[in-house]
Amino acid sequence: MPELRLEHIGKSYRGLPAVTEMEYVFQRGIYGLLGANGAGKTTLLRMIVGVLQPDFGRILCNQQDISHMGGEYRRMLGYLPQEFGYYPNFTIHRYMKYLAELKAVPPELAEERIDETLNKVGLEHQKRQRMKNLSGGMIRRVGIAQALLNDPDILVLDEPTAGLDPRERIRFRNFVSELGRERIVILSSHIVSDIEYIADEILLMRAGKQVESGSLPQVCRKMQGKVWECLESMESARRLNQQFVVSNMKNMEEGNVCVRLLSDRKPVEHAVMAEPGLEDVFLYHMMQ
Amino acid sequence: MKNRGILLEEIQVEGKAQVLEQIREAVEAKEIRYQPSLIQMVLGHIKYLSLPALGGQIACLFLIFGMCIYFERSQAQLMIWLGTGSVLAACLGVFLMLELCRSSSFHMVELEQSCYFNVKQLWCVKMIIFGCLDLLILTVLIAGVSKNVSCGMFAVILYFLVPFVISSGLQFLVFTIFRRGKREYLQMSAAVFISVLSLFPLSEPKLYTVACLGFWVLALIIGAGLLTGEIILLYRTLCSENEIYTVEL
Repeated sequence: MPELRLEHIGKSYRGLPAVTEMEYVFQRGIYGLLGANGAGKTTLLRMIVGVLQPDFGRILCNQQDISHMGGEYRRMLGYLPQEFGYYPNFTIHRYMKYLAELKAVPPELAEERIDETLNKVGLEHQKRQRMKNLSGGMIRRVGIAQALLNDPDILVLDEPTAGLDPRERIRFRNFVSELGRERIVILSSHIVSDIEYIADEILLMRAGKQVESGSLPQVCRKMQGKVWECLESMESARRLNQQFVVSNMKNMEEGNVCVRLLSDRKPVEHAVMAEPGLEDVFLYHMMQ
Repeated sequence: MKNRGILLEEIQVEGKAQVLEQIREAVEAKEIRYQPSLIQMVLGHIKYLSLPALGGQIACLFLIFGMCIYFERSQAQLMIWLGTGSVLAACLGVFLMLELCRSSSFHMVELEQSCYFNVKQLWCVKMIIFGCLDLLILTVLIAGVSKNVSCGMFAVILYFLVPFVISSGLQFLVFTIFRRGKREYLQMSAAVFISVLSLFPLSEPKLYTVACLGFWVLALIIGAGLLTGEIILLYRTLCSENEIYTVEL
């Protein structure tokens, strides 16, 4: 099983740091990269797949620097870029065949792998359709299928659920959960629930830095005592919204509002401590 | 010394099945690593080339065949042979550039760069395919024209190679300067520009005499230098794993 080690890696664009001093070890399992837009997730993933070179630090795969491994490292990779490109006139099958060739999938296995991966994403009956005629969700599913073509040891998915409808997202979560048993799966998203459901480990990024990491119970435990709920009048709820980071406001009976907020201290006398979720953790760190 | 022979260990028959099973498991666990040769890569990639680029290149070949037959029958003058041949030679390079632009136009470069055969290898394969076709087309053009004109094969080679290398060099320059978005129109404009430029010597027929061969040799050296320099620069940039061609920042 591969081990991927980030050693103090960093990257800047025109003098502006996009990723700073990132240090982490990935082993078998699913890793969820969570952060707001511009947090440096895509830059980090691009460095992991070798499309971008870190300005400093290095990435090791099984103790070998990936910049020296060349094709042997890329052979282990499956990648779904955030901006997933395709040749519009290719059919799904032709597109997959093309990528199978680039990924050096043995020709005698290629057809079998294409059928298998398209089956996984539910596109086995559409493989003769041209890419330009597919919906956004279907294109994303082709993207996921192509990433699995070479049965990669390291699977990197940048915003894989963008454009998928709820049913497709659930289907995606289920099969990614299966994939994580035998490889490293790194997926980025700003949709908290996707990460919450499937990731074994969560990495929270803000302004190019890793601000939190660990399993879901671990990161939530650190938020213990910082999430509060209280029942307020509409006027009072508005006031709390201005004073604190409010993660949810829900209208209740008799014009009252149930407010869920984040605070290091008890916000109001009648507030009760609530069980933190990943959304609370995300919001807490983003608002720091 | 007496030969005492070699003593073999007694074979344990009951362990044989177990050993065979271990071997079978080891074979199954072994990863199949397919590593195609350059020829396999080139042949395998031909079917994925874009139709306008490959079709255009092949159409050029037939156009030249047709042109040679037509001019030969109509007993065309030297200037018509050279003018038409120069324009065609100047246009040849555009098809490779259209193919190279395709990856970035459809945002495929990032994905292709992460594959076992990355963009550097892919572009090398494309350059080999289109380079071979260019060579074939130029050979047909030079052979077809030189047997119908009086200036000799060496001069014809020079007259056609000059617009070809300068046009290709200029198109590589456009390709390396404008790295993003749809560059196809710029590439085609560069080809048209050089095609028009290659017609200028026709207004001064003296340029196609033996006295001016030195000028053509010099132009060829400059053009070849520009083209070689551009190809080396592109290759070095890709070899250094530089991201300027692969990622839209």
